[in-house]
Amino acid sequence: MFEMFWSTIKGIAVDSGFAQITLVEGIMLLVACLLLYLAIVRQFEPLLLLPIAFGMLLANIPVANLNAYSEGSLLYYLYQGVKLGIYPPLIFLGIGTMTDFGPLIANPKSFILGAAAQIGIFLTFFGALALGFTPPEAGSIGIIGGADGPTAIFTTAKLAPHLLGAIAVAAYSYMALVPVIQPPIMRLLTTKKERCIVMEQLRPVSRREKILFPIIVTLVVSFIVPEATSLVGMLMLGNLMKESGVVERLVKTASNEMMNIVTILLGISVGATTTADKFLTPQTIKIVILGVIAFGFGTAFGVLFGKIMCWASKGKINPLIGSAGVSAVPMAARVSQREGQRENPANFLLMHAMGPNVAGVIGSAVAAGVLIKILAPMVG
Amino acid sequence: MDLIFALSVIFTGVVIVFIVLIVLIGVMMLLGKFSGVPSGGKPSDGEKNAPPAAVSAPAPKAPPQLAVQSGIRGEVVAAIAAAVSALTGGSGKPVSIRRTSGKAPTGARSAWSLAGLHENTQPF
Repeated sequence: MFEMFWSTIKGIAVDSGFAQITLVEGIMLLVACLLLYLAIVRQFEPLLLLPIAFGMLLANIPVANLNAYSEGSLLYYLYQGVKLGIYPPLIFLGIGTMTDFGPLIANPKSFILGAAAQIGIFLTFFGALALGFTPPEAGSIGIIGGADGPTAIFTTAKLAPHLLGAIAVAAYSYMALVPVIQPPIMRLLTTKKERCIVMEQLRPVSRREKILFPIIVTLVVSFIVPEATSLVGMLMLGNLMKESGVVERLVKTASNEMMNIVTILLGISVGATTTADKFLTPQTIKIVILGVIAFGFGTAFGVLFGKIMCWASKGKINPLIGSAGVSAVPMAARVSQREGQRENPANFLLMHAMGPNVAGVIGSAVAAGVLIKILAPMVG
Repeated sequence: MDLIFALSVIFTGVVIVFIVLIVLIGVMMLLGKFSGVPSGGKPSDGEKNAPPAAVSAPAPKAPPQLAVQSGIRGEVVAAIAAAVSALTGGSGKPVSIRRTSGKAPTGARSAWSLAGLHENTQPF
């Protein structure tokens, strides 16, 4: 009897994670714990980083085979929502119900700043190619510069799914660091006089305009870049539901319960892709470096175009709102507000900056559509 | 790295993003014009019936500065301003508030309590 007992105990011990764990899995578990620390204690985009980090933890538990690539496991099936491009558009649906496009409608020229900030995506694409990534991989890395998590995940799932974990972690970490990354670039590229510019109050926007806006944007974007239809379409559907005022229940569900459910599933699925062999590679370090370059370029070009618009409008536009063209809503707009108030405490740029900020969401979705159109045929 | 390919992707991507967003600028400006509220302009007669959508400001505009004698508490100023507004149907606004007697009231009573006491005893 004792022999059977000891042999059973030995069998359990030999098959346990303690006996089977490898060095790289141990490192990944530590990385997961670090990300959990950043999410919980430092509050780096916790809504997504926490499930991503925990998905990473689960994916690297030895012997459990609970990751996005283990057919038959829970996370394999949950991951299908990412792989098939389902979760990110649903997140955009929820975002649409929470977004006010009024400042953008009131000042459509903000679209230019939203477009300018996306230049960072394409310049980072060039940098990634130079560092040896394939074109689809480079496109996925470049999209980090759009500062839009769902768009980055949507694009990467189509172009370079093996880089999904690293790109998602980089994208969400840098989004949390927008208040740190942007201000030095904004101050470097603007003069004190420019930062002090007080902008005129925005005109009122009618309900009719707010209802027509999502329909028009969907049609225009989808006709020109069909690959962006699912992202932009869902974003605009959410917004139309909100602005119509006739489907309050749906808006409530989309902005709360549905958004939360999809966020959990998306986060844990993305985390489940970060197995040691996919994450602990020199490519991950390059992605981390390229990610911050992408953010920097996006901010810089947004501000530079803001300066051009300031000159063209004879000083009516504060260039600081250009940095809000990266689609980290509303963080980037708040950074513009804060930097404006540093120079002039009576300056309120927040609503002016919200225009380029939400324009950036549309711009990054369009950029993603273009990259998918050009690079998807090259996916091996 | 295929430089020509890289540059063509960059050029194509940037141009298409700008084209799409410039088209949207044009469409939104036209929409604003037909809605009677052109960009940067004032509402025209065509939009009289449409309820104006409130564009929330980050902070309310500061009201015209009211000259308040030092020592008068904020709640007293608020009560007086509200009373003036109520009496004048919303059109009147106090310009300055000062104490008629020399010293500020001291003691355990709060400003509200003193105001109530004053109101109740005024007829006498």
